[in-house]
Amino acid sequence: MTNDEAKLILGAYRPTGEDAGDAIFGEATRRAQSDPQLAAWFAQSQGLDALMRGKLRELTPPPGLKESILALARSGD
Amino acid sequence: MNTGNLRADPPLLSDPVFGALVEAHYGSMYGFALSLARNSADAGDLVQQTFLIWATKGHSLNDPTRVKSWLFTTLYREFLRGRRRTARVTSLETLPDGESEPAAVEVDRVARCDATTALAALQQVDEVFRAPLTLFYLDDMSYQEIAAVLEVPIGTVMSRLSRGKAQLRTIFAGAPGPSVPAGTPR
Repeated sequence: MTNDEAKLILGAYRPTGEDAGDAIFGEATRRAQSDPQLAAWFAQSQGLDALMRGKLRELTPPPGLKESILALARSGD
Repeated sequence: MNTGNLRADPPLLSDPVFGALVEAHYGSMYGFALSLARNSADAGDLVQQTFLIWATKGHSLNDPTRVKSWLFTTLYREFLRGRRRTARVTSLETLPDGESEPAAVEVDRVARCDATTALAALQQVDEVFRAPLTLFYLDDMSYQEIAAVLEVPIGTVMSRLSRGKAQLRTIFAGAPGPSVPAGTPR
């Protein structure tokens, strides 16, 4: 596995850590642990992912959307 | 996506289960729809339409673990159905990768922007990459879940995530940037 291949795989590694036990990431994460350059890339990539995740999750649906969905559903019941 | 497990029971839209389902998913579905449609009205319509379809076809999905995936797949299909797929979409697959290395300046810009600006940047990413990226960021979906929702192979998901992130970094790094004002807390 090259670093470019590892980066492709590690790009799908969620910043929440939920993928720690997923074997598909095993070789890539081990490579990141032994390669300082890849480790730095991975840390920065995860940091960016965590920031984007946090920012986007601040978005909220417009007021009334849920009520509209429920009303629409009731009208067809 | 295979929806063969759907039963033909009559919809029970007043059922509290339906309300709980809406409550559990409408927020993240709206975020996905907003990323795709790029305007609030169309996003709201997509979410409503998806739940309407659920009410008539999907409410009795036998496997509850597939509900979220079913809803997101249906929403994505409705989005695709709502507009013509142009040649441009196909050509996006062959776009060259952008800058692939996250740089401190991009991290700093993301850290300093607000949610609206982050969304605006995400919405500039080409659609073929934006869909998996949104599911990754907004819904914490794994690569397998994204593959199921978008109905593409796992390798394609990884490739699109990688290229989508590269585009996003390029957008944030670009001068003057995607309207990323410095120090504008929400």
